[in-house]
Amino acid sequence: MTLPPGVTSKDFADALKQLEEAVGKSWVFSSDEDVALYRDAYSPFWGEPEERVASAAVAPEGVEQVQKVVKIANTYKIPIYPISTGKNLGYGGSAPNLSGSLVLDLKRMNRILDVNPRNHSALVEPGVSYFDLYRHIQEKGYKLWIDVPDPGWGSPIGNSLDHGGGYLQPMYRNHFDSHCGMEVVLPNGELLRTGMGALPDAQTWQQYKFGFGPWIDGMFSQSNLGVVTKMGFWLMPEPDAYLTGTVTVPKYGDLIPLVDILTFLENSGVSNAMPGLGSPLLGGFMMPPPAPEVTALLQKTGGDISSPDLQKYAQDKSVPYWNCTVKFYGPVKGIQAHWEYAKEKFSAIPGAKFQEGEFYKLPLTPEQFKQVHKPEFGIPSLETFSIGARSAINPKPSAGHIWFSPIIPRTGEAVLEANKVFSKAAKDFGLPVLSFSLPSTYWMRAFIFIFGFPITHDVATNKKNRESFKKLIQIAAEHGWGEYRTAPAFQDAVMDTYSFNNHALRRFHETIKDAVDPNGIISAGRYGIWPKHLRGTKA
Amino acid sequence: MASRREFIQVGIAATVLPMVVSAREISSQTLFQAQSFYKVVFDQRFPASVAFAREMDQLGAPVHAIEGDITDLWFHDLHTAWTKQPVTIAGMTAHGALFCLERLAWDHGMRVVFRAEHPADNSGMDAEPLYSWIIAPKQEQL
Repeated sequence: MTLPPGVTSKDFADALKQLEEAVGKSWVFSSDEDVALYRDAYSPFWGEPEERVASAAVAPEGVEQVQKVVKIANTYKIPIYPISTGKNLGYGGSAPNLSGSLVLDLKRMNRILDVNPRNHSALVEPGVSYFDLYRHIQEKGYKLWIDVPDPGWGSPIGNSLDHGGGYLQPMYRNHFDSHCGMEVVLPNGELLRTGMGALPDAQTWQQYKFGFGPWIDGMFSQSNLGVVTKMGFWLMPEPDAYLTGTVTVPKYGDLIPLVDILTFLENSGVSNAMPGLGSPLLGGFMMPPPAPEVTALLQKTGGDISSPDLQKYAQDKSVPYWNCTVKFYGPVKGIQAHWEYAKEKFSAIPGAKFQEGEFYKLPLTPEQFKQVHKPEFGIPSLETFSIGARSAINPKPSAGHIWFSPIIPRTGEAVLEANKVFSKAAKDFGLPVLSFSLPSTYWMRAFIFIFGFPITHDVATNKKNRESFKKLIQIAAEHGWGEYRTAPAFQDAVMDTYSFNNHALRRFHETIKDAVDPNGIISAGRYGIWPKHLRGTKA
Repeated sequence: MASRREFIQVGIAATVLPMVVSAREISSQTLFQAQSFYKVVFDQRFPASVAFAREMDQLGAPVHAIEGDITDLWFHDLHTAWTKQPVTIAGMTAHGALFCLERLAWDHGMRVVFRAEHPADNSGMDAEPLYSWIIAPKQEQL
């Protein structure tokens, strides 16, 4: 067993006894076999001494038991690491930042406390998964959609607190943005409600976020200032219909107006589902591979996607450089009108061509249900795990991945520049390089690149990849691009890059941490925020 | 008499590779008899998995087909079954399906108590290794 740092075996044993009294013996897990379940399956330190592992785990049944656990942790100065369903693979899973932490597993707190079909909102506990909430809504027959990530086996609370995203309308796609009200057990065991929840007997906890005075909900996301035990969310009313349309544009430089028009359409509310950018010429993720002639040209030019030869090939063969699929939810007449308007706007790009795609009147028929990308219809799915691990482009599959996910400006220029920078870095570090990558469009106002970084069970390979990952964080920061989220192994490195005015942000975090959690018991080190007694020794 | 672990390992191997020994003969001896499985999961994209299911079906096991994705099986069947009580399942699938089922099973006090990898047949770059496995209640740990 890995003990919490600075805690004696006797104290830890005494604490475990008290925890058993608080939550029941069967809900305290300290055997090696049970604790191993909390390892991060995609740990970049897999099997190395530095792998972050728990000492034990405890699974309380309700808020009062969470408060008891927090008080015991304070008594013995045991670091605790709250998880909801622990499915945050690629960003750390259920393993703590600090080895020896006690995992506070909230899976038993799985009550759906309220779903309001008239105001389209829900109030849930941390152990409620997207599947649970979806099932509840289906059983009740409510015409409500939940915005789910892909894969969808995590929890609304855990995903939103870690700034996860989904696929529906923009106001739901950013999961933290779509929350409304929290209940939090503070590090001293006290219970806090935010927003209108601070008003006893409030009737609008899930209707108005801000309550009165400073809005503090953000302090509990990507953070370590409390244990969130309830959270409200806004849900999307089931739309009448869904439509997609794709525009293709012929030239390399067309990416710039293409992105600008897309951004206009999204910020105007015309395109109100998650759009997609692609390149019929260059291929890429979820696209057909490029033609052999294109591959040959790219090899000849060292991967230069702007070479005159490649531009001439695209023109001669009439292969579009770029495409953009815009998507619409709403009444049939409305989404058809929005698609017509989008075509009008995109027609400003010479040579733009259009193709109407999927159209569904909702709800989906059983046959349509089988065919669609389910998260775009508010349906949780694990289908992504069924994609074959071994393929022509991945002949030696890894044991997992971590995500390198910098935020970049929402412009075509930034996309082209980021590709140059990251392609060169990948070549320098000996990482697999795609000819070109296009960003994800989860957020309305910025792009995000999401690169899967392979994790293996080979120590030397993982060490090399970790070093490359840290260099990429630096390279991105030097260009003004920052990670939005990362695995615990890299959270210090990322927080180091948010260094404006001599790390004023981190110093402010630390000031709050010291005031609110003087014993440093909650999620020590999470997102680079360490308690005072560990500060400087872990980063 | 062989140990429980030996029974199960031989039982599964025999079912997967009938040339070793009759699956029917072995399964009739193991504590995890074919009929005792709540479901035997197979992936109809892979001939070896289909053959496995055919053998298990002949032995009286309730077989359940997937095409890589276990979402439907989980949402419409296993979640309800495991919420009521832990019941044992077996299968031969690709890694992704087992990875999901194992983690979902943990939350219901279940564990993978047998796991064997069967190398890909190398018939194509998309060929994947398959895994035969049993997921059983924690107390059934071998």
